[in-house]
Amino acid sequence: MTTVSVILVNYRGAEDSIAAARYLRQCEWPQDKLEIVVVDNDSGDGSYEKLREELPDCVVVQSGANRGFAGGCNFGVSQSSGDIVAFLNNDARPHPLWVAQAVEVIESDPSIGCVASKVLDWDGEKIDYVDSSLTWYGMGYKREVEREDTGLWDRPKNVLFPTGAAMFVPRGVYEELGGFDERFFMFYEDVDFGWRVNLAGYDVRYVPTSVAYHRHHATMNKFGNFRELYLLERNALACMYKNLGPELLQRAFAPALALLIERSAARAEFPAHEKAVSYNSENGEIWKTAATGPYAISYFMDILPSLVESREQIQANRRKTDEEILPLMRTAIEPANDIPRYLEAHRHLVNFFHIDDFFPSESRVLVVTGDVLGEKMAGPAIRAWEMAKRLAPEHTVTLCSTNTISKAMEGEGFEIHSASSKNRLLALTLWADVIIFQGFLLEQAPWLIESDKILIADIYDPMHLEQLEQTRDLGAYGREKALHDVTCVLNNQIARADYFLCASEKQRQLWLGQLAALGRINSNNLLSDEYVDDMIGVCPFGLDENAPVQTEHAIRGKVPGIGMDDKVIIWGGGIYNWFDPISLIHAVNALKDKHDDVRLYFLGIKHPNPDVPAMRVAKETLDLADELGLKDRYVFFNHDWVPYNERQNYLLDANVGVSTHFEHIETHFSFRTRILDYLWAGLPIVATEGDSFGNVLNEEGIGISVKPYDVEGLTEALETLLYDDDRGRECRENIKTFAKRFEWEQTLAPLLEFCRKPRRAGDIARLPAGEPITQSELTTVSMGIDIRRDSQLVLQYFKEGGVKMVSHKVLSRAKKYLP
Amino acid sequence: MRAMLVAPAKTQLPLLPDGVTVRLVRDDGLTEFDYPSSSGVILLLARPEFVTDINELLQCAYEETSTEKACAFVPSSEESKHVLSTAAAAYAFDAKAVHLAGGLDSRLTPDAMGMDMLFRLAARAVETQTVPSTLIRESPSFLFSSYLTVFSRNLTSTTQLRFLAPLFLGLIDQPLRDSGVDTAALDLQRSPGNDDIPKLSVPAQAFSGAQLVRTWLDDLPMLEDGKVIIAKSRRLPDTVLVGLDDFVEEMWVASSIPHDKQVFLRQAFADISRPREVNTLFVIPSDDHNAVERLETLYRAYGQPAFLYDTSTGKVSYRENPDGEWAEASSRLKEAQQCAAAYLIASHTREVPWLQSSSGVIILDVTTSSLLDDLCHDHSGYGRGDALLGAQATMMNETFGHVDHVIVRDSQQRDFVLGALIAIQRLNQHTYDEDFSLSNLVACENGTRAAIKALSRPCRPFERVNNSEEYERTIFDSAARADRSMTDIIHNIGERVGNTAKGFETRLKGVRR
Repeated sequence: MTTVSVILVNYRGAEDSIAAARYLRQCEWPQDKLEIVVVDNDSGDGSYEKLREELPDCVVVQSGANRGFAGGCNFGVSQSSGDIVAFLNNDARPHPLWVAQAVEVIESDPSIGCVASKVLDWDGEKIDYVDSSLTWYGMGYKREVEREDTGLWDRPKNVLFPTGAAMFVPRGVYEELGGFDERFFMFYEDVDFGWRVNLAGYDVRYVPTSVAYHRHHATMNKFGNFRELYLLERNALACMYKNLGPELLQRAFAPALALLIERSAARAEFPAHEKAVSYNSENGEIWKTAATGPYAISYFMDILPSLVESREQIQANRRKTDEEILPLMRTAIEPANDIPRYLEAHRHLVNFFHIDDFFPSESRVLVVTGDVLGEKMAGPAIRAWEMAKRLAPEHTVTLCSTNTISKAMEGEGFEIHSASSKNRLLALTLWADVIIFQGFLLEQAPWLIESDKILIADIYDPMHLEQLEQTRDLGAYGREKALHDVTCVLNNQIARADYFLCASEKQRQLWLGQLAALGRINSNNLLSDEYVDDMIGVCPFGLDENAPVQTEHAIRGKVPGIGMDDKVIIWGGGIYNWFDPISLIHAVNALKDKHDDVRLYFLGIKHPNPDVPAMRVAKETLDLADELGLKDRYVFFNHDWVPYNERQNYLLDANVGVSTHFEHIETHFSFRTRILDYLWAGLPIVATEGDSFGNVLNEEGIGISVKPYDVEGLTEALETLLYDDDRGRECRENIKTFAKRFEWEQTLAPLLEFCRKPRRAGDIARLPAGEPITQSELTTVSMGIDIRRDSQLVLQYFKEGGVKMVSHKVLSRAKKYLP
Repeated sequence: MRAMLVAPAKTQLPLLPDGVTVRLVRDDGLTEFDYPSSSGVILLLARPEFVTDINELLQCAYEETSTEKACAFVPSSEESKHVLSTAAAAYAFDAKAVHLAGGLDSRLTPDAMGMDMLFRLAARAVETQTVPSTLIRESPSFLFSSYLTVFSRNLTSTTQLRFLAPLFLGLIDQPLRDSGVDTAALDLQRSPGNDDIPKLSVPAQAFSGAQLVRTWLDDLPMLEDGKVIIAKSRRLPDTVLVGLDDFVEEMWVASSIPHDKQVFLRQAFADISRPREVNTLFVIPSDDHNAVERLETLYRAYGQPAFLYDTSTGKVSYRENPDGEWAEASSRLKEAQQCAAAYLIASHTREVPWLQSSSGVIILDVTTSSLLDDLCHDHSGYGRGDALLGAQATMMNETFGHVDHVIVRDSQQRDFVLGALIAIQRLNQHTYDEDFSLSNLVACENGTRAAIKALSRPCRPFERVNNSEEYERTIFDSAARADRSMTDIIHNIGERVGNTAKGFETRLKGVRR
């Protein structure tokens, strides 16, 4: 069995070290396979004697001098014998599974050269380490430090470096790399080591199940702040010099020196001293903080002869290119300090030397929806929400709505903002590097068209096809105009966006055609390893990875007329003109004669977005149910809309999910999001064939598809799935497997991948300034006046924001009509 | 004699001949340097105290610049040589060349102004050299900061970064060592204790290097402005600037870093200081047999390391020498994009997307192309103007609009190409003044000679770079004006009135004499 040696370095902190060693003995790992080596770094305060006395089951050794963390660790390893060496700060406490989880990962994959543990604060609430970042000027930092541990960082991943507070290394790798660099004394020895592990061709794997708890900087708190700054600065320089390849070292080193000088001076001058006089030391004095930069450079010069040798050796033996290392730096363009003068210097250096062309910068991602963000959300808002949630662990994300936002909304790792006014929208879009949007954003924010922002158009909803049916009630002129306007809206998106998202392979072909006609399919847009399909990522609507849990019944026993043992069919969304609830009502009417316990429940009639008009077919459905005497006996309507986080209570009260529609062009390209909810809830499905899901129900064994308008077939299918227990069970089993491929993490994979390396489209990115980008006619879509819709809007706005919001909205609308 | 004399503020000038305009460089950088005449000479006295006779030097300047050369006057003990730029007591420039290049930048000190102008003219393919003269007592030593300013404005960031790291290290470190401060004072390991004392006692000059770098950083926005302006007006890429190494060497000397330390520092950063080894990118469609053959013949004559971009496959490859073969090098795409010259054989510029924003020189070789045949198969569009153009005509015009030189196979093809260039307004007075037959712009090939000539010193024609229009204000003068406040402008008007009066007085004196 693998033996593990844990090295604890002590410097005048015997109590901490003793506690840490005792916590280690509580780890769930065979104690005879766990060697604890405590190195006393010449504390001179009786620590050594105390440690020997208190820790008889540990190897307690004296290093003979204060060799710093790096030297102490190396000495400890030389006194140890384990197959794997681990390092734990003496002011840290391991989780009982700290060792076992790390060892399991190392043993499972020989390419792993180091395990980086997850490190939390002492109370286990806030993050100390879950990922690493390195700036272009060599400053290593712990991403997400001080944030609440919300579980967003619980996926293993490769990182550039671990934290020396808690890490594991196979002994062979440690010896191959010569251990920590003792020239560092303390700070950044872990950054340097992790970087070298990577360069040597191994991975540094973050393992979130190997957890330690840390009291940060208990050692350095004993000394002046300038000590730490000095060590950090000088070691950052050494780290860069040793490990960056020639191209990046050339790009970064001289600007890094200039920035270091400014950083040191600015720290000393801000906020007490406004004048930049730190280095005009005519009065014979200088703040120690201001001297950290120049003195760090001087130390770098002292050790440069030996660093030259290290660099030659590391670069000669490297097995990973800087291209492979760069993504691990995460956000290299990061000033990491907010002193105004320093920030200016950072900005000027980055621009002057085009540093951002060579190093990755964190993408600030803005997800924009035109839908209402609130407890009651429809498809577009849900999709935008899930995108923001999945992007948040890797980027700074803001979700915004150009519609209304419920006051109580809180993001899951991202911020939420309202973009109800033009100024707010401008501010948000200026902030962002990458903007993911649906709907009419380019009409609301036309400045984006000529901007250099990276735009991702989420065209999962072919709105123009939808309009063919949706506008049937608008008359010939209104219908033509609506169709023309929406086509222009989509054409503008296609002419300008840098990347596209759609919901299915079939949609992709449609959009490729539209792209082709607008001149967007060209070789400039394709990288050498890409195909034309790569221009559009297929990101279907997804479902939550966590299975739904019913907290209360929402239909059975709740809706008068539906009993606990009734067979419930659920219609899981709104009623729009392209759906066919009429055939379904007729089918239920037929079925009720054989099975008196059949019940059909319509989940929501009133769309949460007041801009979405009530449609003709909804009224026809209500009328028909009434006319056949089914309403509130066999057919039930929720006249409102179900909150997003409560829909599982409804879904889990149903036996079958249903979706029926007419045979028309919209159906061919649609992706019924309500079907996803059925899959999530494990409901067997009955749906009309012709759309993405309707066509696979039979072959995947997850339900039954029926022909459009086929009332008899529909009745039969519903009866089978409601009353044939074996068939129902079989469907539920198949759904478990089938649904996996629609989990959000899977469906959004192309988007997540693109955002890791976002880029402007090759054809429009190089257009000279002032050249128009969009080739199609820019049309401002007129809202028109609709008394019924507008009165609903007023009511909605009043509920959301009172008189103030109503007046604001009225004014905004009025401005649209003014020249 | 039509001349403008530029000298530091408070320079004691002798009585000057008629027609000499005097501009004294004010400390606040508010002097206007636009020379009202489109011909004549500009004599810039960086260090008038080293000049024995200004009037005589003016005469020399007039003679030296008569062939549009630019020169730096050095003591007679030195030899004449070509320079990119150098420190000198006085400089002479052709007034028209200075005007076309964007004018003198009044925001610079006289030292930097002279070196900067010489550098900029050299990058516009003007002959720049030192001229030994008995009128110069000695060569001045310029401050390192002047070199750094000129260096930062005139070179691309990639070239600057080849040299800056060791320079900055030495600059910051050397004064610390010279002043004998204990640089280990902050080190926990080497110098524990005194943590409660926030300040250190240090000699006055200990941080002069750090201060110099900080001042340079403060100037970066101004340097960036200048860099952008200069980049748009230069004709030669960094890689073909003759004398760059000598200029950098002079810069090292000005840094006061001891020689042995310089050697060590340069060695420590040797792998990032190497000049770009590949200056040329060839472009061909690999499915065009004739183009492939032409490339092979041409490459054998060229013989130096080069990249190849295949428009048929989008792949980049690399070849070391004629004995080697083209080897896949897609990972070096960025390097290929920064080559000083792109040589296109039978290709359109749009097939190489990055050329649209490239500052490199583009040479188009149509010796294997059948331009007319291609057009004969073109179909005109459904419209007037540009809409009428067929796909081939559109691409041809776009290509001819972007290239710097065209290599043709015979005089017939040359005539055709000239006609096409004329149609898209490529006739230019400055190009013509330099190349009366336009045989550099459109060169007839003889084997590989025309191609090799174009590749050996890639240079953009005048109409492809920014030039100040005659009688218009230069861009640097405009930039300096933009920096001025209203108070400055009022002050400046007053000064101009005063200068006019002085000039009037000078002319009167001339008449009296």
